[in-house]
Amino acid sequence: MEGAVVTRSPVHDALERLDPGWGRIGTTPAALHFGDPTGEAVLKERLALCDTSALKRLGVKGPNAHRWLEDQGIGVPEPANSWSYLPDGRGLIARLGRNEFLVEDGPKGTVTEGLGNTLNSGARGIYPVLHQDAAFALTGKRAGEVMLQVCGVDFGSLDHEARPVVLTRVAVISAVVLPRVEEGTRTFRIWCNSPYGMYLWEELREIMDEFGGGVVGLSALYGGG
Amino acid sequence: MAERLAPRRGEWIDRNRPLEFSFEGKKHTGFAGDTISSALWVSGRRLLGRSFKYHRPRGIFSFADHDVNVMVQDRSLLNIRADVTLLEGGQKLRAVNTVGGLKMDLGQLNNRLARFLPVGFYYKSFHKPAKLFPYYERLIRKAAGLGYVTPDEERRHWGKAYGFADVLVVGAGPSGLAAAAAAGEAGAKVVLVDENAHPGGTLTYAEGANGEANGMLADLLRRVEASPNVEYRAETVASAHFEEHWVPLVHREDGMTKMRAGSVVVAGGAMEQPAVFRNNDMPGVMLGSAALRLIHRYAVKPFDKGVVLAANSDAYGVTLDLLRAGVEVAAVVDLRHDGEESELGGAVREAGVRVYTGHCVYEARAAKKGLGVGEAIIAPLDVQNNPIPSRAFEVGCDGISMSVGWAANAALLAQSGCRLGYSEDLHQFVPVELADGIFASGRVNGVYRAEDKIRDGERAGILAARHVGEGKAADVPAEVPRHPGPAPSHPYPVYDHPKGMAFVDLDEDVQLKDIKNSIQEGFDSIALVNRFATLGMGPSQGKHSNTNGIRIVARLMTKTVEETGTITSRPFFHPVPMGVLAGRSFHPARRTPMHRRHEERGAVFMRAGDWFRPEYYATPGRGREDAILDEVRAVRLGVGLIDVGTLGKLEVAGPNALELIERICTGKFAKLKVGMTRYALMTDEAGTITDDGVCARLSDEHFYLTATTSGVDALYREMTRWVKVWGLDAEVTNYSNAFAAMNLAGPLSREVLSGMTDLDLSEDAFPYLGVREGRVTGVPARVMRVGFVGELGYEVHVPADGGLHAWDAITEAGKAFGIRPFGVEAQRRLRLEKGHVIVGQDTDGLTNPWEANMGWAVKLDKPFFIGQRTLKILEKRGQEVEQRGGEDRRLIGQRTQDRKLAGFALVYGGEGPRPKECHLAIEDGEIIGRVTSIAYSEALGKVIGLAFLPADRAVGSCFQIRADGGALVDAEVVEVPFYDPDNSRQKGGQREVTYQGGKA
Repeated sequence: MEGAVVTRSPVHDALERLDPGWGRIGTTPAALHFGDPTGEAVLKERLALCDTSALKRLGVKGPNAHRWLEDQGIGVPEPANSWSYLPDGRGLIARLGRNEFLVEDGPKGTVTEGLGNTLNSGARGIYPVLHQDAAFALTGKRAGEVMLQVCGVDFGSLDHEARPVVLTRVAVISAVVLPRVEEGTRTFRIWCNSPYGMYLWEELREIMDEFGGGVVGLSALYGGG
Repeated sequence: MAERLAPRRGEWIDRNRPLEFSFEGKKHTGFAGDTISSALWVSGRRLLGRSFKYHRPRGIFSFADHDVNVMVQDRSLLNIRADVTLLEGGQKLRAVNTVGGLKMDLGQLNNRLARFLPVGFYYKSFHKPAKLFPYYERLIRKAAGLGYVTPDEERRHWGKAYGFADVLVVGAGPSGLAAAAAAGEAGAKVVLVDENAHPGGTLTYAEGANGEANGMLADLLRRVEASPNVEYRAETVASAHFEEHWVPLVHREDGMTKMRAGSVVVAGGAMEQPAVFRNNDMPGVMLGSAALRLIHRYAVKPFDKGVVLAANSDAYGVTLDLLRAGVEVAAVVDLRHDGEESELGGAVREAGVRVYTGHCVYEARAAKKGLGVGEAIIAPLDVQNNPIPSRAFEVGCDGISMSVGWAANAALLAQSGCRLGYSEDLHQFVPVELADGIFASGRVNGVYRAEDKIRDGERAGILAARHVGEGKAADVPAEVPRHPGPAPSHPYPVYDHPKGMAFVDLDEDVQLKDIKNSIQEGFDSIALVNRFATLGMGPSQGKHSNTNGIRIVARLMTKTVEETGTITSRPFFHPVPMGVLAGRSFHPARRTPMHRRHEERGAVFMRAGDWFRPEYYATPGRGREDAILDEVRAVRLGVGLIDVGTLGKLEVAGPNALELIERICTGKFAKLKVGMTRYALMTDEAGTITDDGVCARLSDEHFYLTATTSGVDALYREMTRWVKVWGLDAEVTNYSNAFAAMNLAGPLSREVLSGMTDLDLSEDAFPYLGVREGRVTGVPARVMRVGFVGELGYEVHVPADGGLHAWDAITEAGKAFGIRPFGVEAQRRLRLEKGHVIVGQDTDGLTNPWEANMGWAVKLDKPFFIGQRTLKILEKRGQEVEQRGGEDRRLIGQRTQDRKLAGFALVYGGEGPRPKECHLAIEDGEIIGRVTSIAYSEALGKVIGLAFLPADRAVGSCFQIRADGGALVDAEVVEVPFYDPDNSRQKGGQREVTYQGGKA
């Protein structure tokens, strides 16, 4: 029975209605595209929403978490509420407070798996945190306008060079927001509790419709299949 | 008759884009760029609205949305401010406050009855006789409403966005434009807003518009457009100011921007104020600035033959512009005995216009045909500014233009905490002391000349930029002196008339005599007059009436204006449509991973906080009650599966994890073995039950604690707070959203689960109250043997992303055993049969553990837990009372509990109404308690429940419950648990049960 385990994104049903081209990250089906790569590339530049919930992630906290991560070869962002890339250049590590970290792989990353195996050894002052988030990427020139509809943080005033991570409320629910600009495209990575996933997805989609945005698959965000 | 003037430089209309629309059923044509009011006026319409109280005919007055004479409805969009709302093709407009249409409005009967409807008459009239109040209420509500709600209309969302700026500049007139340009050039991010469709303010209609002003405006606009730091928003009203410079910016189409600025420049200008005389509200009587806006912005001739009422230089500018627009100016009536000494005065005289100095317009009279002005009655003034009616004379005209003064548009200043003072030089309120980060410029600051306003704006813009750390290198221009020369405002342009109808406030039909009467009745301050006479309480919030109102009250009270004070200007000083105020509404909803399956199975959902939970699963052909009983029966006789993912779930780990649990919970956990669970009860410092759950020990320093759906967030907050306060080395993690959970319950649950887990489910290996970690259906899981519903049961907790997989697999495996999903209502009944308490339903904000029969979960002999001190005091007091003779019922209330949660069963044959939760328990006609839970138990064949009753009520004692409609239903106190009293079923020791439906 174990071989048949299928885990799901909190917005799996919403994605399924859009008839995506499915791929798989671990045991989780991931919507890679929606049949129009060119259109999705355009959307990504203009305004797009992508479900990144299927990406593997791992949390760790505790007084010794920082040192432990460094021992594992992970470059830990120094200031609280900031982020940096994982060594593979695809995943990221976000520092959610003084002693709490979120590690997220890119689509083909294996960092979290390696960390998870080590973490389970039960070291003192290090506590694993199960991350079952709904995770989205809101990207494109108009992404900032959408965020202004749902969040009271002035992302425009943040120093993106400092790679900020913001713990705030998005559409009145708690969320972690990581704003960044990559290759000239503005992207907001958003993580919220998975039970709120469908709610937030629908709210963002409704607002995005007004701004001419659409849904794209993971391939548009990360490239490749 | 008004007409469209020849094309003018700077006009706001696009003559190439005619727009057709209708008003009160009649078709008209305007141009794109017209406002609704200008399009109606140029179409020859003079009757554009009806007043609120007397339904008097009204036309254009301020033409700036400083009055609501012209408020219209376009299908579902109601209360449209026609003065400033752009015309759109296809609009079907009608006036909002009529009965039977604008022309034949039945409401105008009120005008004839006006003398019987004095100020405050409805306060005095409609409170008696009391039985008629519902009738009066309906009448008043109907009369008070403006516009008609169209409930069938599809819901429309207005946006509500956050916005940020270093500097917010309110008003895009000359000083606002200069401020925005200067702040932007200094490096500040600037948002500039103006309620009009185009920037420019007075430069677009006054200040010699079309001439020198156009050059000034062009220069300013070039600077603003050249600055990448300045964002200009047209048709946007800064409608209030809240702390820390939060300013709601309202746009009729785009909705609201919640703007947070580093500093704010208030350059909202001044609002022209009317004179008060008889029939000053008649169509054709308008402010001078209104006439100028019609001419310069919309190329509309305001009237053919006019009288100009003057008290400042502006009036003479108006006169000249009227003449240039082809209007015959029959007379200039100057309230000042000295008249106008400036060049403008000379130019008017040179133009051959008759100027009456020291005169007033005493009355406007209607034309013989129509509702508009036909003639102005002009009277000389004595040296005390009183009209001399005996020497009055009439001048024929179809329009009266008033230019007698201004009021600072200072509401934002007042709301931001600025102190305003009355300038006797200017006869207007001006800022005396500005609040931090607030800057004023232009007319609101008492600066009137265009070039001065621009310099004042520059100064304010640079100061505002400096306030946010920009523009340090820029020189701050010198302070600009306030308006020199004769005051731009008359100190008291108010002229009484024995026949009344001299209006101070056009929104609310407040007359001069109403204010007099208010003061005579003892409402002897501006704040009281404001309320009693409804002065300034209409939709335009006193923009055209407060200044004169204050002057009148001051004079009647023989005080100065300064002493009389101002009327508080509360947010929002400019009314905001309800839809815009509501904006996009967020209603967060949490769904468990199994939500889709519940939907497919026909779940009827209920909300538990923001969670969706299946209340029960609808079955074709079965009603709600039957469906619930089917679910209960399935659990009692076979196996059921319920989604309990909404439960609170906390993980506590670390060297002090046990210490934290001990301090938070009332029970003892030090000896709780790894792999076992124990009931956990939490109280607050007052000993009141706050939450409960199950504490599972996963290792020596690792606990998994469940809590109620609604209580977990507060519990988590408290626990994390106490960890810090107590300095404990423990980590608390809230997993309420990260784990899916389901309870597989019923005598056959072990059989269902055994085929899909690597855990040994045998009684010895996994006893009642055990907890194990393993895999279920291949998904990593924590499994707990629980007994909440009173049957053998396994609560399976898995990571949320595997929840649906586990649910589906268990459901599939359970098919062979007749598994059935059950909802919250079935679970409630199952636990009620066991007498298990639901915290929050069977307890309230005062319930201590003894009252809820949970004293067994309280261990007062351990070192500490939250609430312990209070509970010890309660226990001690109870013992003392017992020792003194607890049989005395008066003392019962001093025991540990004066009430107790008791089980009861109805002595009930099924007839009559069935009591419900919260119904009152009655004894000898007195209330003795209330029902907390009640339901029909099929297993027992009767209605059972829990109720708070006096603590001394023994098993077998009877009471009554007052059901709906007042019917009294007999009930008897019975033993709890009602079902399986020795708990053998939940421990897995007994599988068979005598049941109405049969045996398992």
